[in-house]
Amino acid sequence: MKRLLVFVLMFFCFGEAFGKIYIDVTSPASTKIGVALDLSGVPLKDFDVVLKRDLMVYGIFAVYPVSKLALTEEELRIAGADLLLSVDKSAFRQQVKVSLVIKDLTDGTVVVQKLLTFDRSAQIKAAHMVADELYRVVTGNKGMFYRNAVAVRKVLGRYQLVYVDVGAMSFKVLKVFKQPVQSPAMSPDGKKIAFALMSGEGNFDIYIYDLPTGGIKKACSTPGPDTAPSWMPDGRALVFSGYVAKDNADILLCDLSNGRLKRLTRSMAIDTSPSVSPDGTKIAFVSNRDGYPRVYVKDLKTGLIYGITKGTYDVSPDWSPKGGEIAYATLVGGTFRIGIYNLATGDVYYPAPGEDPSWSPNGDYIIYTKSGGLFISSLYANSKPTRLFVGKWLNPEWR
Amino acid sequence: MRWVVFFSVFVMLFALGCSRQEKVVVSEGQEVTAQQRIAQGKEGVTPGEAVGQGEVSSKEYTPSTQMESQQPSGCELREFPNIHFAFDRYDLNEEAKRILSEIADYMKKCPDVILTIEGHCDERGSNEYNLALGWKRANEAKKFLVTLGIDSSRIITVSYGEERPLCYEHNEECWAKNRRDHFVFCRGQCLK
Repeated sequence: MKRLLVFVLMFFCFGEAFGKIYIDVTSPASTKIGVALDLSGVPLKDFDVVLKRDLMVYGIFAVYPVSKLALTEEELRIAGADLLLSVDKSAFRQQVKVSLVIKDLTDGTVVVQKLLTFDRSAQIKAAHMVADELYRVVTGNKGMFYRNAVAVRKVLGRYQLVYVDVGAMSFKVLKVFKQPVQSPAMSPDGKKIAFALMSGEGNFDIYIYDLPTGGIKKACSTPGPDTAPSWMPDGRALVFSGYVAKDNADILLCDLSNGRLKRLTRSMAIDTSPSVSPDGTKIAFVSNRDGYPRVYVKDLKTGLIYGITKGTYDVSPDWSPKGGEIAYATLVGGTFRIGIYNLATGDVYYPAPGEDPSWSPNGDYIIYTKSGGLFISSLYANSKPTRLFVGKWLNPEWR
Repeated sequence: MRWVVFFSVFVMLFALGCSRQEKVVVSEGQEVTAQQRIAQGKEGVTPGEAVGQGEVSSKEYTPSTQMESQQPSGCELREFPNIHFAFDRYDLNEEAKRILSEIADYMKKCPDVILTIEGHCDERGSNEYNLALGWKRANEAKKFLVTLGIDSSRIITVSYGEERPLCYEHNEECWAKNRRDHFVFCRGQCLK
């Protein structure tokens, strides 16, 4: 409950130019926001489909299709719609113009009025912009579908490096590998993907996939199996799990300009799965230095290391984009659950069963794996998790 | 009568299928040795050293084949059973130590064999942590062999984490089989 209150308070702190919060997350009986969707003008197949998918994946909207219902605004309001999202499209050759209006149906005020102009080839991106705008109006928070996620998909013993458009519920296979692939991580500028690949030499090293060109090059390497790269916020260095001491994994910093390594942890235990805080001053990682794998934090300024979780198998930490929480996976009674650790209070809550969590770019959702597929769940709204895809998915990352 | 013919054809096909499977296993073994060969090359820290190692091993190659013809008994490439571990552990149990002692005896008797130890984990938990755990499992066995007097340069360690299970079901019986060190031997020439 306290968590939800904090969330509501955050809306006010952001001080956006609207005085009304539509989603009442403090109410346990909070219902979805009714959105009357009025798509008019020329049909644009990709735009229309992706906009509807986006609204579904957000999970907080109940959509009323205006064209099918043929109701007036007043009737829509009585039927349960809180907002009217009106999208009027016109196209001339390759150029598309979209007039976007978001109207509050309770008092008839226009909350947003915008004109978007884009190329036909950018329909999907434009649909994400509209959905993210609606999310911003409703919650006061930034949207999230403007940024894609990365993951590994295992099909018939092959490993696919995959680029995921979460809102559109679609993905693109960037490259297929025979050898195992782990832990893709998108660079802060969204142009590169660092990942771990077992090369023909029988050893994992850190590689970088360049999205614009599709090229792959080795970036960081030690004599042991290197894995779990995480980007520093400036995009110039990676933190990963590697071997300076021969038989024991430590957290290392790799300067991408010259491949030089700096050792950040020294223990006889396994240190792996680092996740850099958004300000780049701390690193969460997994260590079994106290007998069980648990999440620890290293403060890069003071050099201090302290444990935060208390379970008997806590792995896969991911630092929240807002900085105040760490998501991780914990094994309790034979099943894995996602835990969200609050760094200020030390409290943990468990939003969903699953593994390998990664925060959405706005910090309101997590994407994670569970037997049977890749899932997304809102951390704040009263909505059920959505399964994005079926199959064997590994190490999603969406920061 | 027709059914008998069908049945015998089916049995033959089945047998063919089996023999094909065996072939796959053999080619897998070859793949592993190819990996070992390069992995050994990678042990050298600088490229210069790696080249040096290669030269040494190719010189060793000729005498080792002579030795092979001199001592044919007991020095053919052998298979040893896997050793197993508890969940999230890499300490060696008594059974594992017994198998490793046998391996040490064999390696002492046959000084030209090189051992690759593959560390594996079950499917549970994070693949990143399991990769490090598999490495610990392989290196724990290596340390034990070194204490028994085997030169550490004759032992290569590889971790596959949870990526190469033997058994694909989701139960403890299967997981126990997958938490293992697997031993692959090759001779000097595999370093070429």
